[in-house]
Amino acid sequence: MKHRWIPLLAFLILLLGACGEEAEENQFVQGLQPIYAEDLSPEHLVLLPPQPVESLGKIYTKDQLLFIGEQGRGIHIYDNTNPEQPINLHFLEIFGSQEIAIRGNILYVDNFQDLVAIDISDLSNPREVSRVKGVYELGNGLFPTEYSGYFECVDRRRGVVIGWEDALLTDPQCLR
Amino acid sequence: MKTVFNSFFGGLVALLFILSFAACTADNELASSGDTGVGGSLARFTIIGDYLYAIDHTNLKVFDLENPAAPRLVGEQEVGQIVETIFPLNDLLFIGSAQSSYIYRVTDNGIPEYVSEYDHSLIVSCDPIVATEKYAYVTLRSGGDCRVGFTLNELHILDVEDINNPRLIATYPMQHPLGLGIDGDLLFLCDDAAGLKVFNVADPASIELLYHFTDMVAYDVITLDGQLIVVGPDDLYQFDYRDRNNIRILSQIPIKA
Repeated sequence: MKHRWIPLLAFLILLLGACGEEAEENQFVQGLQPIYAEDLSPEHLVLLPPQPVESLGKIYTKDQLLFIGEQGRGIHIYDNTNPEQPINLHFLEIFGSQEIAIRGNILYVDNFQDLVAIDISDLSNPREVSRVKGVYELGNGLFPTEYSGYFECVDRRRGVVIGWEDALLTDPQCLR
Repeated sequence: MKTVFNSFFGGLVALLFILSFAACTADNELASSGDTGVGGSLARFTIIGDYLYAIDHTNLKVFDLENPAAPRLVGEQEVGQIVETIFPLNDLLFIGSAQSSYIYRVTDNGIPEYVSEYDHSLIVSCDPIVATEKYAYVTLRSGGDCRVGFTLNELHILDVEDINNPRLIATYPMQHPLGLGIDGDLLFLCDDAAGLKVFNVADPASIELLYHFTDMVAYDVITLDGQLIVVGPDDLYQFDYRDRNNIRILSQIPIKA
């Protein structure tokens, strides 16, 4: 437990050395910092084993299937044939996704700035069938939704924001 | 000769079999291609007919799904600021934003046209909306995306029988209302940490709380003709509401790690 403070101390010392007296004005506050995905192919579409929900997104159902969004990361797929005992089947990993709609066997999902059509007729092998590029502005990732407080401002040069995590922030400039 | 006839006949049977199978497959594809799922009330995507309607923070986009595997962007228009949710009813779209609830009508070419709005800009808040042909139900809540200094947590019921002129009928205080669902005169309201509330809204001016499931955190719902799906950050709940005198939980599944 004690060791947790060593990196922070080292960081503080570095900061003091680098900034001199200015560092004394720095305020440490609890807040959120962005999680960046630095090297993401937008075509990233991977079917994974069932995962727990970390940040609940939208819900959608069609026939016996229930879809639970994972904000910015993908879609949990449940077999809901028996609503007394839904079965977590798969996690479909699609970064930058928030929304879900299905017609026939095609699932539509946003994927950062694109709209993607995914054929789910074979649930164990979903595949992208088309993509409308650049229809969305990247507004969603610029601030943490459903949150009030300090957060580290997004630096778009570092990549795309796929989530937010608790952090001790130094003099954060963003507040909502 | 008999052998030739037999193999001819056998071939014919096989051909017919294959043809009928192919026809059957085609039918199935046809049937499923028009088959649309159902989303929760916090959705920003919805499908009406051959079109997908998608809202981002300010705009409503229209995608033509005539070829479902290859959607095409065919329209885009500005709706308002901080657009939050979209709900379909027949050829109408109810769109919730921080300042107003908007009603659009989908025209023959799929492009929506503005009909009217319920302006609640004095109370800037997040507001999912669901509707029947007579009434619309809007939850206004404080905090989150639509946080402003003034906080308010209410259910608003609007008369939308004349969709050109939506009219506020009544407001009811809530704790922190999020998603909601309507089926006939049963209203299911997710009141966050205060749980799930089920109202009889037969008289919108005086709604009646039938059930209050307090031991749960509720964010959003889907009503499925007697089956209710409810999610919170930690659990997935399902209820049977076919008998309103005996609305009962079917399952509670932890979804968080």
